[in-house]
Amino acid sequence: MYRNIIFLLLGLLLGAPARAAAPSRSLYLNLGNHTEFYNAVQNNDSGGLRKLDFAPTIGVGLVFPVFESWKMLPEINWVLPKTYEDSHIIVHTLMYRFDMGWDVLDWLRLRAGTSIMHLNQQGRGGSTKENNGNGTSNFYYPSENRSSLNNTLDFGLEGLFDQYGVRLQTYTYSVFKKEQRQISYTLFFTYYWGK
Amino acid sequence: MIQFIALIIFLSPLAQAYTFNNNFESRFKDKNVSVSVDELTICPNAGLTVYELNELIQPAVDKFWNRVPTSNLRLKSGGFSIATTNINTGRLCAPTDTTCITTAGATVIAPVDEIIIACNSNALNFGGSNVIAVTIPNHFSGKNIAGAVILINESSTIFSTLSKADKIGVIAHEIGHAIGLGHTKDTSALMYYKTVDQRSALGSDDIRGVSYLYPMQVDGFGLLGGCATIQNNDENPGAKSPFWQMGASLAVMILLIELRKLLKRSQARAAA
Repeated sequence: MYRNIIFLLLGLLLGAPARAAAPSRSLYLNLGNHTEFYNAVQNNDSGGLRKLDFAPTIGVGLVFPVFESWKMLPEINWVLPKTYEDSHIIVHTLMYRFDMGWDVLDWLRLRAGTSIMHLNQQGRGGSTKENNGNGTSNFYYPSENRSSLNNTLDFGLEGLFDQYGVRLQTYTYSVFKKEQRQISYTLFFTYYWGK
Repeated sequence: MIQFIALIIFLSPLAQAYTFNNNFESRFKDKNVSVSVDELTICPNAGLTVYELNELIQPAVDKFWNRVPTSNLRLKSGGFSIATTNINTGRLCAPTDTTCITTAGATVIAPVDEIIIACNSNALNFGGSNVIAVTIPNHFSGKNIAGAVILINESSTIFSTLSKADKIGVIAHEIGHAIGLGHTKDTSALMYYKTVDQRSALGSDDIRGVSYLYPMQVDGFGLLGGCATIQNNDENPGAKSPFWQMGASLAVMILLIELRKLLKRSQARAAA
């Protein structure tokens, strides 16, 4: 089994230079939709878990050819701000990413890499009355600007069509800590400039 | 393209928001916090032995609060704590609630140094038989929480009517208060004020709230676990924006593009 996989991978690797590699493009723009923590966030009151979120994402990246079918692919993505409770809290995420890309076929690129995920929350302060069992009580909104930073292990699968790409990009949080491990993903539509 | 981006910014959805128990956003200073059962508590009306109560704690923290990779808070069951004065029948008062403290006099539950769970039969703590449990951080060190008490309503049998999954959910909800969170309007959140049909995970609000109070600071893929201090980017609350970070990132990108052009030019010269 493993030997077959190794032979297959070796075959693809050795065969890659012989094929016309995907064009070496220099700059690209991402538009996408990000889902944080797939299947690990409750999204209704009957125990359902969120599989797809609506979180528009934009980003830019660069392609640095290394040799033949291998590329270095740094990129920055921004999950656009969401506002909570009439802008009492604004949440957005920045992804500082670096991938190695392997053009397995003219139209197929595999990516493996890492990100620094920067979750930023800006609180605007204030208070609200919330139900508290037998009445209401005052509760308070955040009033500061705080960030969480995480390292993720990332894998992506990208289809390349002329100047365009369609990609499923995954990010694994807490790779080495099973109880906290979560997977987020983004579906990207990409436009490449240059050749 | 610009119109498209403007449109999706405009469409970014509005949602509910998490809240805190108090206006100074108190939290535990240490990221590792123990949750223990008071060794002398008794829970006949809640339908539990203290051992059964203790067995609810670890599932409550493992299923909910310990699963958030963007938070460095780590809760664990601490077993049984030494007995707290007045824990079974006394009044639970916030340190700032002078009316409660004056009225209760010698029956005030003593301040604690971790999160303590107990059953309590003093109906004044609950305000009604339909309230399952209450939680009050009753010990502060400056703005930090030093200890909190979770009381299960022993003046009624409401806790005993819950399924085991709901009991775990209730304990997890009360632990949410103990670590500093308040209620939310979002019914999918654990910090919604009442139990729902089924509680299987934290909601988005809960994750945001615990990540705000206990943010992870570079976890090294889970190996480092983040440092124990809170990064507070802004001494003037909510006034500044982190968009300078995006500007810096874009500047790095532009530099890389220019570097790539230079490399190409030098390669072309070498080829000529």
